[in-house]
Amino acid sequence: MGDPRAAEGHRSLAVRALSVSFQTAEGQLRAVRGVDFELERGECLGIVGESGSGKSVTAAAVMGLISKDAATEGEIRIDGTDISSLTVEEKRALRGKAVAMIFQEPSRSFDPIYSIGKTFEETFRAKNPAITKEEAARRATQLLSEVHIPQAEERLKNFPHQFSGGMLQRIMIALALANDPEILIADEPTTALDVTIQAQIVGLLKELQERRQLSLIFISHDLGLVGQIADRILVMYAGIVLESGRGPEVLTRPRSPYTRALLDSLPSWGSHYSTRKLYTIKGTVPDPTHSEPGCPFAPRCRFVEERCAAEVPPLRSDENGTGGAYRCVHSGVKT
Amino acid sequence: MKRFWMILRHRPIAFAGLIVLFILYVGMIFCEFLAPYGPNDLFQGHSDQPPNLIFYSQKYGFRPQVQAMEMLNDITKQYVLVTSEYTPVKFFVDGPPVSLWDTIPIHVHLFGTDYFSRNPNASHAQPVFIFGTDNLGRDIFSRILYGSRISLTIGFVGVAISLGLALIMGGLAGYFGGIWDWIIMRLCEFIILIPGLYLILFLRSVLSDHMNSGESYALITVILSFVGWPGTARMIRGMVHAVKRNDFVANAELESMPPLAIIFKHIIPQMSSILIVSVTLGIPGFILGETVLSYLGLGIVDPAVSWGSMISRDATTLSNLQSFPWLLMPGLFLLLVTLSFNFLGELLRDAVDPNWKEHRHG
Amino acid sequence: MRPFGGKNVSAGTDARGIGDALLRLDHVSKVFKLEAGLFASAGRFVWAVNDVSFDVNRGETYGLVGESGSGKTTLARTVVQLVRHSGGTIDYYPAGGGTSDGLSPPWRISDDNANLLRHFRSDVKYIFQDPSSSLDPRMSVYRVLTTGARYSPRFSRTDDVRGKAVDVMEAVGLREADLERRPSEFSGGQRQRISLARALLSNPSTLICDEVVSALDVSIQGQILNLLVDLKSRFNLTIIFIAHDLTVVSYMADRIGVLYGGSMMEEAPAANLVEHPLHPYTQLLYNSIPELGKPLPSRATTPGQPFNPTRPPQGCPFSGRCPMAQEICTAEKPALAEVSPGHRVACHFVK
Repeated sequence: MGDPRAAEGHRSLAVRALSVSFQTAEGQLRAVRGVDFELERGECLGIVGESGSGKSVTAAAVMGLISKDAATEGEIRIDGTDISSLTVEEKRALRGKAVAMIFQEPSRSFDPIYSIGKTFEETFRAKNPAITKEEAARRATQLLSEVHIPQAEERLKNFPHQFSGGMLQRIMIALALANDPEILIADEPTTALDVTIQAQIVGLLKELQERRQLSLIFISHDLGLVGQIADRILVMYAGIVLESGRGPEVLTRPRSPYTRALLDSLPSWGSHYSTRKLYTIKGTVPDPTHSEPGCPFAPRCRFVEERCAAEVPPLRSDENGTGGAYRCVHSGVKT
Repeated sequence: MKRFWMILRHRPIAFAGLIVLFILYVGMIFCEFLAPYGPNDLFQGHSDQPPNLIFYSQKYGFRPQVQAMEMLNDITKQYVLVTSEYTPVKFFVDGPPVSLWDTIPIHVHLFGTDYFSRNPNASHAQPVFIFGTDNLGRDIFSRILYGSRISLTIGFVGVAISLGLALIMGGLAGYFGGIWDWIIMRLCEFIILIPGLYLILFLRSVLSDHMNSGESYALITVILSFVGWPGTARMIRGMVHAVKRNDFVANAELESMPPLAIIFKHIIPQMSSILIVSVTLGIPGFILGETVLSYLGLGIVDPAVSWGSMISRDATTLSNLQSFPWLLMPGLFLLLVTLSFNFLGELLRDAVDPNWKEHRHG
Repeated sequence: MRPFGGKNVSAGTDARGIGDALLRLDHVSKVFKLEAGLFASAGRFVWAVNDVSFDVNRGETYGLVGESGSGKTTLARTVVQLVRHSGGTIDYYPAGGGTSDGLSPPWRISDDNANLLRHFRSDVKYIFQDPSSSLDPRMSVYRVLTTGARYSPRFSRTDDVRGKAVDVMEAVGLREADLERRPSEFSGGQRQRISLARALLSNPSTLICDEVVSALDVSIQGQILNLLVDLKSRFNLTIIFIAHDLTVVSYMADRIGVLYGGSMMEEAPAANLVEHPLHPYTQLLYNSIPELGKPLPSRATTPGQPFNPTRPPQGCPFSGRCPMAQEICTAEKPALAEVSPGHRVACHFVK
């Protein structure tokens, strides 16, 4: 067997035709419906979507955090290895080493009765049972300084409730880096934080991504935030990728009517109600247990036509050669 | 409700409990008609007779019938079967006249024998005792049916009173907090601190003991409720605390709704499902409480009849139970009812618990 | 009856406001006393709001922006007396003089005058952030809307409450048939519409909107913001719009107050604030807004020492994080001083 990485180039993650559905009392919930993406080494992929868009489920599938009663289809390759071909043990080992994840509520991710130092020690010990207390403390201090926690060494003795939300999220990030992962998935990492703290955390993530050559998946509902940090962006809606493309371009020159509508419906800096009316996206976010055959955004789209309801339009690439792609029966919205 | 039936399908024991309770309560409502005799009808020469219902004889083949018994010794109450003397059990027969619900006079009973018939051919007819008789020759089955009037209702009445108290006290303590909370909670703790049984005995003995059955029924329920409310009140207080944090309570305050209206219109309805569960699980306690009081001679006394008073009258000595085990029948019913309520309560608890998941096999 | 208007101020223009004051907060403070627990020592306090003064003018949208712990929600709640303020005065100048029912203007808001509060709360409505918590899940929408009407001085028993309920439902874009449904059958955006309908039922003059869009999906937020703008002009409402998002507040508001650590940092007309945020905190807030093309904040923005509300307020609350902080900042609290007409800043170094 040759080096699988050679075949896949610098690709650290490839997801093909990923579908996840859950069985609920109301029927089948199709959370993710055929998502493809790739993540290069050292690249930041942003996934934008509202609630029910499937963005978090996609991440959970990559992490292998989907419950057993869900039906998962498609292929997930980490470092060229198809994880479905691995045993449970191998999967766990691969994930622990290669992929790490941070969540929205850092305070819920910590055990309140363990000090921060102890939490780090447990994490190191899971991979390396022989590690000494001193070695664990040394490495933890190093990681905490890397996420700019002042007086890292003393703070190892502190308990989670003694930190602010922003600090805890930094520690969470440090903990995620404990096993030197290649891929870091950040699922709404700043939603529970204040704007000023959010900016710091995003700045920190970007810094780590560049310094450690991390592949970062940044999931958020905030278009502006994703536009700031991501090299490539996926816009998801009702479990489908409606648009993908390079960094800010997707948001400055969107081709999908959904992306366009989202941008138009929110106030931008400097606009005022007396001079500019917001665009109203009619209707509500679709119920994922009732998936209609056509384009999921069709019922709310201002450019809707009859053929939109026929089938989900294929992802077509942007004619302007930006490397982007979008799903729409029209040749995209004019920008 | 739909969920309730869904869970019920997977719980045969709870389902059986539901059926048992249904049958018993129907029996309670129509006890005058269903019982072949009144609770205090004495049958001379039949005291402490064992159950005499049989289902086969050569004379009548397969059908419910009674084989005659003769008392050998009226001190040891030993009976012998009289061969070839059978009385068929019939449905809708004439029996002692009673009035249904104290209003409608009837003399037809669901089943019985020709014992009460004036027909001269039936002069040898024997009365039927499904569960035997007690030492005065009263039919245990009829007495159990009549006794359920007290035993099966005391739970509901008691729970209603104690729940009412608990709602008001717990609601006030939880909603207002501060000094009210302190006073009410200390009162609760005080009552909980005293061993319940002694408190009941104390209250019962302080209060008059020359009472008719209606008065003692009322007194027993009040005493039991008084002992029972603090636990529920504490639970309600906790839930009120949680519900109070919802913005709709603040919204109601902003609409100048008075506190009592807020408690009863907005807060209590949120807890209704949990209250139903606690009521169901609380009923057996009251039924047993009545039994305990009656067993100690402080509850229902003759001529009124309850399961507790039957047990206390009849199941008093071990030799009694050895010789006449059918006298334990009311205890068996008690067991059935308390178990049924418990199973049903657990079912309801799972039905209202959003975290409960069906356990699938495999 | 307690005398009102002890300060003898008129409802007219003065140095602070631009127009006709409707609501005037003067040195309002709120100190919470923490309850003693098993492990918590007694006698600890939380200084949630410290000496905040501002006017809300008739017919304007006043925006309050601040992060968590800024005291914006506490402040809004003291206005409607869901929280009793511990210092300062809140005066209300109702339209038409407000002399009904034995009341005389201005109405000095405090929770020991039940009659006054009843009238005030019918005129000033508070909209909560999370509509799934502010609507009783066990009531039909009709009951949610109208249960309060029985206790409102604006309704008598003979009034056509149902007709009014239908009117407000239509005003917020819902149908009459929706009255019979339960709040849980609606989506988040629709529930927030129900909250608005409920508030409008008593013909209020003022809405206090506390983070009304932050619990909603992105594609729904625009609907609700548009609806608010629409309702404002249709019913001549004054709106106090509270949010953590400076972009949204600057879009919605005519004038903006920036809160940090329970104190007012800066107050200015929206256009001024957008163009010249003067206070270092406002500037930080502005720089933190995620926007396309804006460079990510460098990692040099160290966390700093955030405001601790359990310490007695002394000095500028922002001094622990402020890049310009000097000794004076921790010693002396800067007063809110006017730097240009209508633009007030509380900073020792902005003049």
